Amino acid sequence: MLLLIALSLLLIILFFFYLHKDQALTFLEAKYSELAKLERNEHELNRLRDDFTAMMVHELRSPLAVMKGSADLLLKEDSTLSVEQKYTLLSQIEDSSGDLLQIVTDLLDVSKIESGRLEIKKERGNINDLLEDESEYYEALAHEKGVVVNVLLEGDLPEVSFDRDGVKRVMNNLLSNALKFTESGGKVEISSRKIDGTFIEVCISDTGRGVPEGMKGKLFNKFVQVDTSDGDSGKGTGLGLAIAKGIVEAHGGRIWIEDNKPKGSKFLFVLPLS
Amino acid sequence: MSKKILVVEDDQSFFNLVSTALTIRGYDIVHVSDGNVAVARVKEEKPDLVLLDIILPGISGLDILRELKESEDTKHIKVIMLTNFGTDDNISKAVELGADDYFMKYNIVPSELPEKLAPYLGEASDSSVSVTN
Repeated sequence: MLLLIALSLLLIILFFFYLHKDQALTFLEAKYSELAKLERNEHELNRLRDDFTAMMVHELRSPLAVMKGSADLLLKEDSTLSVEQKYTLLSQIEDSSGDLLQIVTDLLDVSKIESGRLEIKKERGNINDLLEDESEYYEALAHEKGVVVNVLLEGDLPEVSFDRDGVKRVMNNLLSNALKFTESGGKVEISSRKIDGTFIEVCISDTGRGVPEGMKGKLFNKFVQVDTSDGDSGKGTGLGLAIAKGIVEAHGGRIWIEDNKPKGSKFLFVLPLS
Repeated sequence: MSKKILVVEDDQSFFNLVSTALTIRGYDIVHVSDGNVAVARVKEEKPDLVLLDIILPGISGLDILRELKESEDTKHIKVIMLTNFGTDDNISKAVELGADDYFMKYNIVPSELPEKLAPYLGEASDSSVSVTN
């Protein structure tokens, strides 16, 4: 009797499924497609995690190799090294430990930005003063590389509330990138202007190799580096622009990239006047 | 005449390290920081040994290695690859292309580098090269 009931139930289910087979198949296909998408996302996440690990290993090992090696020579070859050689090795230890510290600070800052805990200490001041200091520092570096730096700051900019250290970090990041990607004979330009009495705009343009169209949208995401046709993704942690974006947005501003005609890139950011 | 070692390395600090360790042992060091001109410089300098970084701006050290080992002028020159992130793929590719050895940068002990390189320069590893200061 029980068997008969079970068989009847099975027949009813099969009949019901037959009647609605199109909907059932569509439902199954949609579920399968969802599963495939989840699997692709997981693969993409795994790939990003592997790329990040590889990049961090490289970035951390480079300064560590220099520190360890410099210390080895200073300890073992003390009697053979000249004073200049010792000075260079000691300077390399100092510089490399600074690089390591910066990587750790950047990682912490990205984590603070993501959880909305980045601290901004705003003070009123003229942003041109900061831009002039930064330009002066980078002019010397650019000169060594054979790159010209032009500074075009609007004369009577109103004062604005900003975090001096934070905006300095944004400028350092944008200027070091501009210089890194501009070949000898090229030009980097720093300009500032007031827009509609509501914003102050700062622009850093270069005549470097530019950013491929497909990269522009994700350039300010963490761990993203410009991938160019020659296969050189550059060195660095890929955190700088993500931090710059976090700092500018914590001021209520915006940062973006444009093409610099006929060649290179323009990085612009605006800070609100009020 | 001192042996000549050409170092293809874009990281100035790491180059200083290698260069210091080798010049104090009397080797003649040539620095090439731009990988794109590395093959031309090897042909011009005719070094006894090439130390070649894998990750270089604009070009891979593996491509430079391939070119060096394919050219009649340079294929006899010993090449040691340098890197801070050696994947199995990279190592087997370098060996396949004819690299004579593969050094991880972070494992290099500069004071021991002359001894490590001696066999590739046709010197006994305990032989002392004249020390210059």
